[in-house]
Amino acid sequence: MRYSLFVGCTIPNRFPGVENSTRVILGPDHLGAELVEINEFTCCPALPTFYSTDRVTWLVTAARNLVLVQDKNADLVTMCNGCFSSLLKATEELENVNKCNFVNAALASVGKQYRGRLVRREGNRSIYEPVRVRHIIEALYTDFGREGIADRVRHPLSGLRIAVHNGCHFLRPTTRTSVDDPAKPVMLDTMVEAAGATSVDFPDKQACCGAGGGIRLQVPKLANAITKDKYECIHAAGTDAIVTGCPYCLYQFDHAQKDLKVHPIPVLHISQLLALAFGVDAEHLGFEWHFVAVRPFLKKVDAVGVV
Amino acid sequence: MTPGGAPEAQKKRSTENGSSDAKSAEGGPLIVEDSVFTGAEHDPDFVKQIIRYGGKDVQTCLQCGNCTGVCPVSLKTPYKTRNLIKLCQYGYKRIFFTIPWICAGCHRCHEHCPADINPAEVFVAIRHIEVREKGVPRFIRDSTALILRHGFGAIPSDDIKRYREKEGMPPLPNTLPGYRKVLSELEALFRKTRFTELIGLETGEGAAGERKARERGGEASK
Amino acid sequence: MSENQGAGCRVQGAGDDGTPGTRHPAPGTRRVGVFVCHCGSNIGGVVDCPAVAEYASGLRDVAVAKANMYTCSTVGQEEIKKQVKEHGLDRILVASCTPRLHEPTFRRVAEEAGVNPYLVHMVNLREQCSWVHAADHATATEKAKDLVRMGVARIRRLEPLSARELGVERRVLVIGGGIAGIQASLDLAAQGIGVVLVERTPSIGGRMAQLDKTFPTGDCAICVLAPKMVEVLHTPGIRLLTYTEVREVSGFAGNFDVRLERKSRYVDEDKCVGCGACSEKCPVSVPNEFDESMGKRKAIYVPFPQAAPLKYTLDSKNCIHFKTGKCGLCKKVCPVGAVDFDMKPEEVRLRVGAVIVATGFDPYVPHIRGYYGYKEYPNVITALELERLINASGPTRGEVLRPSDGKTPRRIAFAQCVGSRNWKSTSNKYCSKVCCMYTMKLAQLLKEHYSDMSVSVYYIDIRAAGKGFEEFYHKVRSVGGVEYIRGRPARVLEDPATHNLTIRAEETLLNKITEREYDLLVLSIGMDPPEGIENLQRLLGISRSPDGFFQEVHPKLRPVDTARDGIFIAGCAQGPKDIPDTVAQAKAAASSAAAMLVRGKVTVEPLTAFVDEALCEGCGLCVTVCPYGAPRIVDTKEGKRSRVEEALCHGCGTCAASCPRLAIACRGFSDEQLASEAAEAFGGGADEEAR
Repeated sequence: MRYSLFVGCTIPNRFPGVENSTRVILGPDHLGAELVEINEFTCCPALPTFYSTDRVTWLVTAARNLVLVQDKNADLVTMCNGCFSSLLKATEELENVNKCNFVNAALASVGKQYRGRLVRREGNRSIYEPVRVRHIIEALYTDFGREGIADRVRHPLSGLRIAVHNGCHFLRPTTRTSVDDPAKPVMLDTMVEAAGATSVDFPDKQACCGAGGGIRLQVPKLANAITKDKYECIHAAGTDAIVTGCPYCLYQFDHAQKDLKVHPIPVLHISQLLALAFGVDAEHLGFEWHFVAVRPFLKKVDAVGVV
Repeated sequence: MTPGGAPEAQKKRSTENGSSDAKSAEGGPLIVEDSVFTGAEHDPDFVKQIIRYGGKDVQTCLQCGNCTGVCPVSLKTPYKTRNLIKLCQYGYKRIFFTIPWICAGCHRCHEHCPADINPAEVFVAIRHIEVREKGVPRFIRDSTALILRHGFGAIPSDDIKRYREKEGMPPLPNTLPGYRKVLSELEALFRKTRFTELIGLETGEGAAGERKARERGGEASK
Repeated sequence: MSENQGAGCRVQGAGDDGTPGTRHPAPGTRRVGVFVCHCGSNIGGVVDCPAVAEYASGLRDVAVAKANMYTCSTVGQEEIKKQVKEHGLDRILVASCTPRLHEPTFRRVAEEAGVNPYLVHMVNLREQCSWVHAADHATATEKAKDLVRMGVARIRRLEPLSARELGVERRVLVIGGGIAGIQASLDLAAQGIGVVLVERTPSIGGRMAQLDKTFPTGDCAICVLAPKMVEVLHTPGIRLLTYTEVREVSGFAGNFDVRLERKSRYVDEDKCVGCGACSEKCPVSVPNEFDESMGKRKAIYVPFPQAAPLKYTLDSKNCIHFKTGKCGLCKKVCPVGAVDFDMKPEEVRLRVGAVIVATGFDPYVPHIRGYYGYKEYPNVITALELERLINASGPTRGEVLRPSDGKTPRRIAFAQCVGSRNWKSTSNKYCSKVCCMYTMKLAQLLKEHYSDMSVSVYYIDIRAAGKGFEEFYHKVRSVGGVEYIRGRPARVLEDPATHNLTIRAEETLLNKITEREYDLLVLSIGMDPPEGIENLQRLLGISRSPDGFFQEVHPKLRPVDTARDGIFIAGCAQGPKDIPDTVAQAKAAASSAAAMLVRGKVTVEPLTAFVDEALCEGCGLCVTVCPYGAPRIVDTKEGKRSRVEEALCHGCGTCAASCPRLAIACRGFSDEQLASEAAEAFGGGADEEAR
């Protein structure tokens, strides 16, 4: 497996532990994937800011990021639903020849060209396919599978009840593509169960966190009101933690609990949960940046370095 | 368009929309001047304009209300997705310029829409129109300015920098000296697509926005 | 169709036509009459018709050219006949509208005037000239002249042809034994036409037999249907073959050769007296398809008490004997020795003159991934399932009991448009037409049976267009306790403890999102094209519309005809419809089939393809490209050659265009005829020079 991690904006600035956990679990000590570092990435760019105001600029900026990966023989993997949706949508739009030519005319001014990744040669002809944009949940599920992950678990999270939150842009990244079934997704639940924990069922399990699309930035009260409904369902189901694959959903669940002054339920990224299950010392996982204290959860886990 | 602006916009909408009943139930005036729509707000080109900016033809909406029922925002606000699409059909463009950008873009409406409309993308088209006809919301200008300056939407705090070093993580791209080239590429592209002009990053306002955004970015990363 | 019949009709050249009374043009001489039609202002308002006629009169071989106001009117037709007489015309060129409209008219006029009808040619000055160039009169007139010049070049090279007539088999194959097939069979038999009625399930009756009452009158479905089913059994002219599938249909209108497969029911139909002793003893119990799997049946069974024929069928998939070789109880107890485990499928071959396709519909199955919890929550059922529950002969003897606890629900919700009116690629775009009405009927029935029950109907639009339908809607609304909620359910949640269901929906007329709790949710499912329709389409060689149902030739004027002559469609095979419409279509199809067969003969158009065997090498490309199965490869003394079955040929020309040896030509569309027309288009024609 060769991946190029696309960390985006939210993870390195709010939850550096998510990036570190991902690097650790994919790294040589655990899953043994090869990580290709690319230092010229920019913002994906964010959908509410760019896609909502100027689709052209959005596509050009996204294409510039994709160009950086196209010759690296690696899949672009994100740990963020926003980056996943934006970049995947861009690869689809760029399949349109007219749009692609238009974008390339702009990219030419900075000496770049989007072609996609080379898949094979037929005589003199080179056959290109869109750059593969993947979400960490899907990559773990498809490339390693339940067994592949369970094999690496040194510290099974048995007896723990987890509420998974897939997030809208993982379930419906584009109008054309779904990687998981949006009505009955299985991937994130499977990863949680592979770690030895129980993924609990609760009403409205696929509801929105409330933060997306700029709502949190403009009307935090509305974002929190949406979160509250889901939080209550999760709380009623009796859960030890909320696990998501998106740093912005994580941020929203984390901070809404502060604003709403409710009984705290720790919120973790799937990479962090798997790192715990793989036996990584909790002190490396950046939980100090989470608002809702993760410590009670770590105690239940009996995590290394805590007890 | 600030968070505080939302209730203000709501109030305005209820009179413009002629929903006098709701007001009187809350103790407001029973009789209002503009309770009859005269079509003065009607923009016959609105539907076509939405299509031009990538939305679907809202005229084919069946008004079944499934979108409203699955919309996380409709559940908590007076804005019902179906009703907004009806306002598009009617051509009530101006009303949208008073509503904050609260579509989460979760695309549940599209997943369930029997008419295959995709309301979320219709709202994206309407935002395009608003940016060009009315102006750019502050939070958009702030975040674009940040990205233009740092390549990303925020800058890491010193704590985070220390954590990365301690954990032996590779340095963040935009802390490397070579990243200057990336920023100049980004600026060149934004100029090429006339995005800087559209957002108003060239004017003093853009710079002011950038300052504010930097403060906010620093604050949020704490 | 035998080979010599096909080979008997070779090229019919000049002087070869046998139509009595037609003028035989002397070789080399041609006398063309040109009639330029104003079509009121349709053409005349744009094209200068007199100028076009004037121009035409100067073309080679044109004996006379006239402009008329309406050439298709009686006056116009008489004018043509008059000119034929006066000028001794042997070819008639009409420059007017599309040949689709009036070609038959002018061919008849020609025949009446003693001119070979295939020496009539039409030039389209309306659709292809005046309508598309309305803004430029001068250029339109110039184009009209060009078109007429091309037409004259073509008509000069046409050769007289004559239509052939063939005998017909006075028997009709009716596929599908629902109400449409039953009605069509009875109507045909009443006219003395033989019928073979084929049904793939063990009994006729179809979907109508599953229903409890019918809207808007409230008639009991089986009470009005059963007498017709019995009549089918007792009508001597109808041969009923149940548990039978159509395997092959070849031939053409008047003479179709059909191959059927009678599946083994492992019960000798001639011996079985329907006593039911076998079923009583059968230890296997499986879900009964007829009850939409709400009830059970045995492995040897009749699907419902009124089944016709009342003959038992052994379902070998579920039979212990077929699985293990043991049991055999049914065979032991049968008093007449009808059970036969060694029965084999039987092939039936017969010839029929026409086919009526009445294959009905399948109820839409809400896919498991659907949003309403069907097959996930026990108390979400389909309307057809409710129909079986509320039916006195159904699995609950007419008691509406909800699946989770067997209790009578007090609050029932209906969700309309499930599987209909959905523009997502995975669903059906069309309105299934019956769901609004059957929901009203079920609501009324529920209120009759349980007066304290409340019924809510979630709808988008209510469609009650039909005789007595709106009045029925009014009546149902006035019952009280039936609430209509305008909004599509957005979310259905089940309470795991009570199995009650909460529906969240925007009630669009309130502009509010509501959540209401119900004991039972009924999905008003639409109609799907029936399983196996693709296969039937292929073996019949007829087309389907984008909705997946069979396609009629013209939605208004030829509603039960298909593009293949002699094959008719009736009922839901053509698209969703209710029982009155289905019966009306069945009667129409029977009448159309009878009209053809009563005449005793079919006319075969002479505008067909034919093979020059001297050029043909028997490559078979024509066989692959022909959409009608007309060409065949036959062995001759010179080797393999292609031959076109003229009765099947539609003259589309696909084979002629694709033949690599240029061995195939179409009568009336020979290369020479078309090339002369094309040459004139570019002004380089030989006729132009000769003028």
